[in-house]
Amino acid sequence: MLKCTACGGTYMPTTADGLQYFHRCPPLTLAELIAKVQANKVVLPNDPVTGVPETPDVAITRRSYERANLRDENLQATSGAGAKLIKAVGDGTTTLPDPAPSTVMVPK
Amino acid sequence: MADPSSSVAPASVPSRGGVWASTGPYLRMDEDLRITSYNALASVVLSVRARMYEADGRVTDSIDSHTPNTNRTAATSIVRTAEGWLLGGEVFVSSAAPLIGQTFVVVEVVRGESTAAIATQLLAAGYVTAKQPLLFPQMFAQSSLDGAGALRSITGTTPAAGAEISETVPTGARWELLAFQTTFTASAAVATRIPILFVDDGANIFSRLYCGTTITASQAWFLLWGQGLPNVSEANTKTQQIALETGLRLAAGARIRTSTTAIQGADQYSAVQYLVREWIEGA
Repeated sequence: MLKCTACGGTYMPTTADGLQYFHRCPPLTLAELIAKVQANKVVLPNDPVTGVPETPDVAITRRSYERANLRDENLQATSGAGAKLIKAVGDGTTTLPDPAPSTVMVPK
Repeated sequence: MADPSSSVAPASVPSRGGVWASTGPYLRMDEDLRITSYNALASVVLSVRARMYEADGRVTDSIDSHTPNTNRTAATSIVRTAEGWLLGGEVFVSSAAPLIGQTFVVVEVVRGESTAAIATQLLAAGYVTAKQPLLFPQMFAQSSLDGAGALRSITGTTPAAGAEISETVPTGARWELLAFQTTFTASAAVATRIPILFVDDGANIFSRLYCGTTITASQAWFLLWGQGLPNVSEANTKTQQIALETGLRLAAGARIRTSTTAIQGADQYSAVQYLVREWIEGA
């Protein structure tokens, strides 16, 4: 099992049916966005209806706020040079012990 | 313009009792077959067999193998042929057991043997499985988006505490989302959470599917979105099921993700499992 350094998500690189799994970090949560706004890392746009700056809880339902170090293991293309490159390396991964399998054979 | 590569006279037309027997195209000395595959499954090996009616009247066979990539990217190989009439051939699975939707093959006539070989004629395109070879030449090419697709049950990423779920349609795939399930465990922090399933195109949200019942401190709920499900919330088993759009097809890069109103830092999504129908997009 792998743990993404950027988002902390954990995943198996191969799915149960034998296919590769391509992790991509989720967007910021509301709490993360609030922290970034308070730290002046993000300026929320004006609400087109009210004309005043959006609040984070509204902004997060209108667009996705991505972390700068996001990891996206999806390939850039299905042919050519991009077929060998993932979209974003991010901060890499660490290896964890595999979780218990979903099916366990119990001896008689 | 004279063709310098054709070193022998064209073979006579194959016939049965003087009647023209339909065959494939005539391949010159500098023309071969190119096999291109797009595959998602591990350990798949394909066999390629072709029969030629050569210039000297002999019928010969070619037997080659082709190993696809396992990440839906294109893998190509050249099958060298003698000059003559292509009587026919097939591509079949000789290792592993891909499903419809997992191993798509294109067979072409090309001029040259390098990666820059020029395609001159499409002979066939379609999925291969352990039970279904791809025959060539064919009158009509299959699209990689044809057919029932491969049913896949996928375990997603377990996000960190306080983080949301986000699953992405892989490069080279197209999905139809059939069902999506997770468990949401609220921490002891007092708040009224409302999980929402967002579906977007990688940036722009086009579907928002709300859970009908709010989740309060220290509760754990099973959340299930599914095609054809009625919206039901059952408090005793802490299960909510929410209707999902029917026939929701998603291109590569599209995301299925949660956005949870009032999510707290120690709230936890887990057991992310979803069912999709998958095709090779090939783009």
